[in-house]
Amino acid sequence: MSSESNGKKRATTGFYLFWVASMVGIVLISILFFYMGISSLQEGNTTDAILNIVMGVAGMGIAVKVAYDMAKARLAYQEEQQEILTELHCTSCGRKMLRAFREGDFVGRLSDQDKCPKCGAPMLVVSIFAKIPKKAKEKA
Amino acid sequence: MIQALGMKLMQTNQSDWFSWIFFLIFITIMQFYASKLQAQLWINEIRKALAKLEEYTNDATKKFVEEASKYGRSREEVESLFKRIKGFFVIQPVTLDPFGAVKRLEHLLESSRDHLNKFMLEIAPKADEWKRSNLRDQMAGVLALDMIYRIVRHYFILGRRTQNLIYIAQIQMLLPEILRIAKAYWKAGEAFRRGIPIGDSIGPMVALRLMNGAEPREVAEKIVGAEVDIEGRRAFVIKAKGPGSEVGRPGVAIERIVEGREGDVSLIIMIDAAAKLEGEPTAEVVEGIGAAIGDPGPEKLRIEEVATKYRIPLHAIAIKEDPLDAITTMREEIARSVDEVIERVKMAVRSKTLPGDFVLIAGIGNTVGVGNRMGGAS
Ligand SMILES: [Zn+2]
Repeated sequence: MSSESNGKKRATTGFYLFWVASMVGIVLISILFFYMGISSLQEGNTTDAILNIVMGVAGMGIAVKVAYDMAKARLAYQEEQQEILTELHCTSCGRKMLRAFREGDFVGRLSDQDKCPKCGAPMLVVSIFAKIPKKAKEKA
Repeated sequence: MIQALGMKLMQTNQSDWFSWIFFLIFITIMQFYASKLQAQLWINEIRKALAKLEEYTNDATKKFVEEASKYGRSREEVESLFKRIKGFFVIQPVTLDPFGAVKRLEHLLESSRDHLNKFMLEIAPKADEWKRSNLRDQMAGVLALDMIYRIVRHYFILGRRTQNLIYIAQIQMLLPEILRIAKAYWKAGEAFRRGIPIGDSIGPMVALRLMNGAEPREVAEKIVGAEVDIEGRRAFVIKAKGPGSEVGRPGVAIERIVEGREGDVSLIIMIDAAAKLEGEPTAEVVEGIGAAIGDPGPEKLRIEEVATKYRIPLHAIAIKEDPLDAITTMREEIARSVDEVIERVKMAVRSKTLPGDFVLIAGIGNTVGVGNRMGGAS
């Protein structure tokens, strides 16, 4: 209840495995091309060398771009998580308390279910708000 | 190195020449088809966004049907009733002949409110007033999402059929913003379903705190008010009637109170959430002059007219927030600004009026999740 997933579907682990595997594949092939390019350069075969090196660099560029996009997608999923909190004040001693929002709470309600932990008097709902995780806040 | 390359090219045999020619032809064809390819890429992007929009709309619809069917009607009945209201619209009045346009708009808005309220009675007959208004505005979010989906789909189909880059580019460039708005409407449904205050509720929240436990009475349609002492002045504080999702008719209320006192009001203070510009901090409290209310016109007009008639200064206190934060669950920074707003209200009262004066204070906005009296029973 504390962190509602808001019914948003999370990408499956299979999906991530597929992406990681294809990325590793691209990186390996790029390194191979790069290596071939370097060795043909040493052999003096410049045309092949240039083509292979370009292919290698481009492949690695694609891999970095895909990894970046994936990291961004993951961060977007994290952003969804927000906690809805209810702030209560004790009616007799003024003690403050925060707890997860429950349906039926509204600002100004004298809650009979919440007793002050210190003096046992009923508590008053003074505020309800969403706590946004630090990471998402920095992004916003 | 280039020399070496040239020499190399001359040395290469026929099959190498072949691949070079093939490569050049490929580049040339790409030149011709670049725009076609670009169109296809953009169409794909729109297709993906459209799928996302459909997901939001379906999810919001499902949640609404689920929630509404808890109050006296079966799922099938709710679904078929909902189909009837889908695509609901209000036609703007003619402004070519501006005389009485606001009065006509007011009438249309009243009729549409009435229509939706009656519809809620039909779809959720066993819900109480509180739940009914929350359901109504949860539904309004679904209708907005549905409308966004229909518009994007229109341009998508049009663009795909005509392959016209203008149609495609238009919608593709707006996609990030459209998705951001759609996401906000989708999230708003949750706030209304569970009865959580939204960013726009800051006005009523401040008003409730100012009322300080005084017994409220209904002063106009869905508007409650109570008289309290603020800095030795008689202050009448009004807000929409909660804790259901309502904005009420603050214009009618202010007009009625001022007319009832034959204009003997020294100051009107209005507190409302206002759209922040990018770069401005969320929950910044700013002050100004005028009727701080974001309605389509009728309420604002009533307030301006009655204030002008009796020469009552209009003081506005605005809490800056992102327009999309205004329709989703209230952020902590906004909730924490209540104390500062109250301080500003007191400062304005002290500097603009004398002890014993009558001040009207209006907390404008949607009162979802905000009650009518501090310490009021549930
Ligand atoms: Zn206590």
